[in-house]
Amino acid sequence: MSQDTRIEQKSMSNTPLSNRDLELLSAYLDNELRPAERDALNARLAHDAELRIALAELRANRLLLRQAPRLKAPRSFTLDPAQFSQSLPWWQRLLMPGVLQASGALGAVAAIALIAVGLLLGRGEQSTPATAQPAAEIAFQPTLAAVLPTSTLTATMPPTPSVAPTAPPTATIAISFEAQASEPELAAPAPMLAQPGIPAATQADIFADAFPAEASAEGMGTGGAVVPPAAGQLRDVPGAASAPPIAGEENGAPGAPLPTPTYLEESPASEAVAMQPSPSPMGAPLQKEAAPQEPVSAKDKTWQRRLVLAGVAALIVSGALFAIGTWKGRRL
Amino acid sequence: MVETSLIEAARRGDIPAFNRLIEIYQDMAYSVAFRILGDPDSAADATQEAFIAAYRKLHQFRGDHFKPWLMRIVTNACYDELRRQRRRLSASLEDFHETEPDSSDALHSHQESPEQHVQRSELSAAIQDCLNALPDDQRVVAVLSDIEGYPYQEIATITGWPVGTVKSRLSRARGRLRDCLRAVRELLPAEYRLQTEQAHQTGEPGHPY
Repeated sequence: MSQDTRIEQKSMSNTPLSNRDLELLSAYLDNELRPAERDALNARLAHDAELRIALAELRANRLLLRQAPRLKAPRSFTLDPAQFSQSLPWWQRLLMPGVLQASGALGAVAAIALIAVGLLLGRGEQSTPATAQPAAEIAFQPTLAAVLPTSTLTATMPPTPSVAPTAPPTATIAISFEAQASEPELAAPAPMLAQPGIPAATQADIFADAFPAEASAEGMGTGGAVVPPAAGQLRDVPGAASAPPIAGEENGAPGAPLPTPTYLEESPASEAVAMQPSPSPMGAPLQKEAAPQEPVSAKDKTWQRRLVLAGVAALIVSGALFAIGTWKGRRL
Repeated sequence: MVETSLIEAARRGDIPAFNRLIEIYQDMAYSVAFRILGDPDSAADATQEAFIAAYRKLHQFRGDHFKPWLMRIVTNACYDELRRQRRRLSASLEDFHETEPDSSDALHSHQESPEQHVQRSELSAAIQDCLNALPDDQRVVAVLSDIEGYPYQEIATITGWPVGTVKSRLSRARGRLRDCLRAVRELLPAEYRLQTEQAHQTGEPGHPY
């Protein structure tokens, strides 16, 4: 009997294996048994010929299957770039080298434009002080006018504050300020002058306007109470003696119409004050008003600077995008 | 290394790079699909679907085990194709035998004599017949383990089954193949009978490989 026949007889005499034995033999064949299971099976195989034959048959079958020829693809399964390039998610398409390069180039152009706009705005800012100066002068002029021509204004002041219940200087200056507000009021300022009930705050402002130093030193020092200027102080002011007395005030007739147009014409201070855009003729408030002018220009400069910086940052990012796109393109 | 750069490029939408990956793996993918499906046309369809799906899912791929990942997609495409076949109820063993000569043309036949080619074709057909007789899950695991040589853990990764399930399904598949191939073995060319007999002779315990 040949060896082949004996093997065939062994195989043919092979009895069906239990599922458990089949699983053990299969895993044993693939070296997938745990050491304990493997030792136990080795012990069984040493004594069980049927088990050994089953193992040999499984091994032979596995060898046969392993020798099954690898099939060759009947055609190429490559993808058509035209068909599948659009099937990518949008964020993947954004990361494609061409898109990165294009976005980098466009971003660079936009960044340069941003920088140019920022620089042009900066030049505009540098040239604007020449034109902005008059505005500042106009803004500051009332301050000077309110301080310097105090003599003119004080000339219209009554000699004593106790002459009338309503403060005459207040009324006089009020005419000046109201006159600048509108022409109709200039035409008929008397009713306003005649009004005795001017708020204390307004009076304080007006006094402070006429006497900035005293208002700040004395009036404000006393808790904001209005301290009228002393008669002596008023008389000491140059030109006070030559000032004509106010009609009606001497008679103690409060609220009598005053020749305000005359005062307005004669007083350059009034004209100067009338030019001011703000209703507050005070020096200090005007300075406060003028002071914000600088932060505004500084703000503009800050924005201009930010614009240029944003442009530079965008230029850097765009350059990086373009470089990455180029690098990716070369790598592929 | 080359494969990694190709994957990276393909992930960024480079179709030619992905096509190079396809060229590397298309024989393997088609072979597995054919062994699972048993029909060249269905295998070609499943392979094409698998590569398209792989390209679309490439952004989900993590790590550097591209082959098992691709095999999982191929296996899933085969399952989809099997479901379609069942719906159509058009696949029959006769049809398969009619198309078998075409599939045998796809075998690697470099420097093979006509006789060898015939023998190889017969072997392939015999193996395929036995594989076709298996249930789908057992066929899949038998193809991946005994034909493609994947270890259990990778088969578990490819199929998504636990390793224990892989082990038990493979053992049942081998039990069925044992019965089928016992009959086939007698019909095998002498060259293959000799090899299997040698395997029998080396079946002593302690030498699983």
